[in-house]
Amino acid sequence: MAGDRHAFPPASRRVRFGEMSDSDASSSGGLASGPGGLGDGELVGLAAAGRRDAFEELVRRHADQLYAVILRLTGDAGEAEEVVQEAFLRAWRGIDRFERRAQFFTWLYRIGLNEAKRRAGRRPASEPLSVEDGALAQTADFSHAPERRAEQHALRVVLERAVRDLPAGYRAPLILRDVEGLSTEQAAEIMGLKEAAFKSRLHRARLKVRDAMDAYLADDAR
Amino acid sequence: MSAYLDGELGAEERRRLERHSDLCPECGPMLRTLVRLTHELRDLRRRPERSVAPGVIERWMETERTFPGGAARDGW
Repeated sequence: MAGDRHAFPPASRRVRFGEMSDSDASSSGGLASGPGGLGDGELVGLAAAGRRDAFEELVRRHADQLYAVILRLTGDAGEAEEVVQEAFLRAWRGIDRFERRAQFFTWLYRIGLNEAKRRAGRRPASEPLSVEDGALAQTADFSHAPERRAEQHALRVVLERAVRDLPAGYRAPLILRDVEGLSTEQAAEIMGLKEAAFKSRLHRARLKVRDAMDAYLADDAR
Repeated sequence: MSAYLDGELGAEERRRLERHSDLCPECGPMLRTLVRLTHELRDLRRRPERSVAPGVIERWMETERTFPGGAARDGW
């Protein structure tokens, strides 16, 4: 199944069913062995047959990564969480219509991106995206090689801002491809674009963010 | 250059672009900064400190209890 060939996120990051707490296990029907070791495609099949523990496993595998993507798009932690919740609910409701030739997570991300877009369309044009630098940021620790790490942190802030300032249609390709590391094929599929169109947007986005990085580095060198 | 960044060039094409970039005053700096940019962007990848999965599962189960079988298809 394609979902297994391009397992994403990496298998090492997956939460295994056996690692769940007792309350998790009981909410999954108290099965002796869970679906944690199965591929996404198999889980989708089980979920479509009504196995809630299989869908729970899909949520555990993909919710945080989808949240990270949506948060970068919306800039609002509360909104991103709502989008993720809604994306999964819609996925559950529509799982029997999921086309198995696609990967589950690309289908899910597409639902999430569409939901984020729909909500953005309802937001008054004058309302700026809120900026939540801390929502995904790691705690800055400059205790080792402090100068180098401080520089790296400053560059990271510049890049975060440059990504956030991109128009949404350019921000999403850059986030999916360059930040999240999806393949061009996967990212284009999520955005519903042909690969050539996707690449064109990605290239423009990279040039814009590169300009911001160059300007920062030139300032820093002075 | 995009194909180079995305790993879509064969070994010979990569070497040709790299040789050209070593000599070309326009392409060289552009390629180097784009390569650096893609590395830096990958470093932005983060996960939330607190997983959102438990909240998603709780909300999903609550909605299923309230609207069993898909009453929320039109939005909730």
